Amino acid sequence: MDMNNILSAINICTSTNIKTNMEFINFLQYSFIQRAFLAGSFVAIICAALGIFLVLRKMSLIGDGLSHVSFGAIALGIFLGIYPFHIAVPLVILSSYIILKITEKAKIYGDAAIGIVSAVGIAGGVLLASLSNGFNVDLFSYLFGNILSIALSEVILSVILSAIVLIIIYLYYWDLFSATFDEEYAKTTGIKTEYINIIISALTAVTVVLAVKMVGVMLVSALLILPAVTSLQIAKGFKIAIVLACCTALISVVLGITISFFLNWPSGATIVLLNALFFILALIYKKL
Amino acid sequence: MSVILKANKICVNYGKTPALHNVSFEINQGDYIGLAGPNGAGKTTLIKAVLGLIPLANGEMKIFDQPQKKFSAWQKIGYLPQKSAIISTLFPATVEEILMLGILPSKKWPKVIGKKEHERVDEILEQFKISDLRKKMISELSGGQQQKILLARALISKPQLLILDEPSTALDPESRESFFQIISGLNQNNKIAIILITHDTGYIGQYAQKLLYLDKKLVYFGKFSEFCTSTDMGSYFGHEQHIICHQHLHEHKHQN
Repeated sequence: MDMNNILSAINICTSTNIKTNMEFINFLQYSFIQRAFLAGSFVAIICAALGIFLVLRKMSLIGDGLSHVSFGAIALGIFLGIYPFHIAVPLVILSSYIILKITEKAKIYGDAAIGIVSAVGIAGGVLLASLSNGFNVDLFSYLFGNILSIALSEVILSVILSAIVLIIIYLYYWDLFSATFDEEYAKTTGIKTEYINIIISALTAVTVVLAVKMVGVMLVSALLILPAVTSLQIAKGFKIAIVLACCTALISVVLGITISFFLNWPSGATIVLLNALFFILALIYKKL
Repeated sequence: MSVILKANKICVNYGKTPALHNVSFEINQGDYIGLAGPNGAGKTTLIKAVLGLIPLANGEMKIFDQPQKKFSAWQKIGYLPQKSAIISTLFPATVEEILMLGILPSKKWPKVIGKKEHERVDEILEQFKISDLRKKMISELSGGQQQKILLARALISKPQLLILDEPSTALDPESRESFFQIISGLNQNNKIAIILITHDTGYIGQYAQKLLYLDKKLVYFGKFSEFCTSTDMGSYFGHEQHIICHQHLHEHKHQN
């Protein structure tokens, strides 16, 4: 290869790089991308932080159950012509409380209580969709989510609610940790574990509703479970586990949005698969 | 001697099944009580009632002169639960984080852990000669080390009453001996009252001054030495009294 060829090869490479850089800068300037990054980052962090508590308390599937309820709630919102988030947040919080109470009062296991509420949520959603002449585009979009289509008002709501969830986790951190490690011992130190359970359920409900917009009803539980189980493979401490889970979730969301934009892949599925990839990497790292 | 715990005709039911009936006793500062009885006798139930984990069906209980329901000074009670599978290998807590849980009763909401609490952790780790375990994951420690950490957690708030639920089940004979020496030291030097649930009544008789024997009701509450010479107990226990007292009489280690 003579010098001219080398120079032209360098030119091609440089211009390709410049083109890619320009594309990336343009990509970052799109307001819908900025909105997706902002809302996605906040929601990813609260999902990961709460996920640690849920996984260790063997409540992982509550996310799945509540996401099904949020489907029913969103269908109700669309059916009544009310903004879906406004009806989903209180209804899903109420459902999480019902799951707790069914477990306590009806003396049945938590997973069965989640199954009951989850089925009612889905059945309600399907019925309402049918009454309004089938699944419309709006309702269908909530099944698989699309963070790239998130509106500014939804971003503001997501950031505010996520901030509230994070503040509550911070304020109750030690009580949440104690009740997660050993609920009975926590009671003997004066911690009102029944309130702690209500707090966890309510925070999960809010988080699930926010995450539905991002990855859809079908994949919400993955966002709660995957970063948590990834970090639990390698973390050497409870606080470290939470921080690691948040980092994994954050990187997955940022990378997921970027990849889905450039490759035209569905954003929710991309984010979840990246989370799964991190989990596999953590497993390999643990085995090394 | 100040009264730490007073139970007056307490009854506890599980649904409609009575678990404890008309149990009365009094525990004073510096007492070392061995709580014994057959399986299902209500030993753990009694402890749970003291700790407010299950409600009383009848009777009254006072802890540090306060009715049990209104009691809130949980830092005065140290509790070592029965060793079970609670320390899952999946749970990522360090020794330091577990010890902090024992400090929580003395903290007001929002519970923020600062320099003072870290210094107390240093102190207790030093006391138990386990400072090197501070950053270790509790799930990676041996059964004996875990038990030591949980005992340190029970003592970190400087309690006046220490409740131990079958603490020796996870320990080998050597660790068991050293564990009971630590407990005895706390009782004799710091005047901490101790309630220790055990199946091994003979063994605990070497250390405890008093025996509280339950069988859904109170069978015996008094000095260990008097239990061994009591003819009433002889007629109740038969040959078992001799077995319980054998080790006590031959290896009499406590001071009272």
